[in-house]
Amino acid sequence: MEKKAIRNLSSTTILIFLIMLTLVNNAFASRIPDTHDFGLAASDDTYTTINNPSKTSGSEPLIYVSFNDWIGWLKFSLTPLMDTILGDAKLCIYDWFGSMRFQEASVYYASDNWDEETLCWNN
Amino acid sequence: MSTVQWFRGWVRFDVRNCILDHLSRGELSVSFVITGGGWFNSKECGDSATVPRIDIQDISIPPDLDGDINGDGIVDVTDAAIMGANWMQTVPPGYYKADLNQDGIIDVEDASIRGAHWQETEPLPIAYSSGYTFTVPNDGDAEVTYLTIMRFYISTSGTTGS
Repeated sequence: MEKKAIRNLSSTTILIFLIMLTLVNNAFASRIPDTHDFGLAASDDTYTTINNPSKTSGSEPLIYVSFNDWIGWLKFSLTPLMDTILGDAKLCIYDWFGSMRFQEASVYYASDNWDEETLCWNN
Repeated sequence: MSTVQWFRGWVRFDVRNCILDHLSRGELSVSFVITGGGWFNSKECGDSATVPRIDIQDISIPPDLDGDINGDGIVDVTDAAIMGANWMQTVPPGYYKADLNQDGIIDVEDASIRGAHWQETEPLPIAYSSGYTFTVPNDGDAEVTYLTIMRFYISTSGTTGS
């Protein structure tokens, strides 16, 4: 008699557990995180060179970079990312010219108080 | 920050931690300096496929409520403002979450979906978490500390805590 009661109790517990599992699963079915890939375009891009320190280059089609004498600048607005949970972010720049040897470039953070219309080596 | 080598074509740098660092400080733009060597296409190069960009992978919880663009559980002026800021833009560069019918443009059809659910509310999930890692600015020491922040959302009839 006691064993039967325990069996019934166990069955009821399992049944309740399965019902709760189904309800929770349904509640979260459409809330499973998904991923979305998109590109963030640069708002400003230019280069500065010590060889022509007053030159502004924001409207030019290429960003010339050569060691410490020709430096590239890129700026991006982060406003579209305010509501995102960032999974990955890769800065992508396309080397138009290429060469017959391996190139090497480095990227560093910079302050944001510049724009492509006015930035030159002197400022 | 980081250095890469390549032969020609695309060059990619991992900037996730940098962006998270900026966002955690409330900064709405980020700048990079490039040194080394290369002739890189600018946004004025005439080829939209090769302009400088940041490839973003967004991990998001899709809202159950149509029209709830920012996912705060209510269709309101905030959603309308986001849609307005991206009005008549194609996606991308328009904000993809404002393209409610996912036809690639944010237009009157999306506005009508938002309007049909105006002021509707929905409780946020009972609990879920989102975590991210960011770089903590240091005082010049080469050692960098990483922290993981977990945000928990608890729903009690539509109100949230974090």
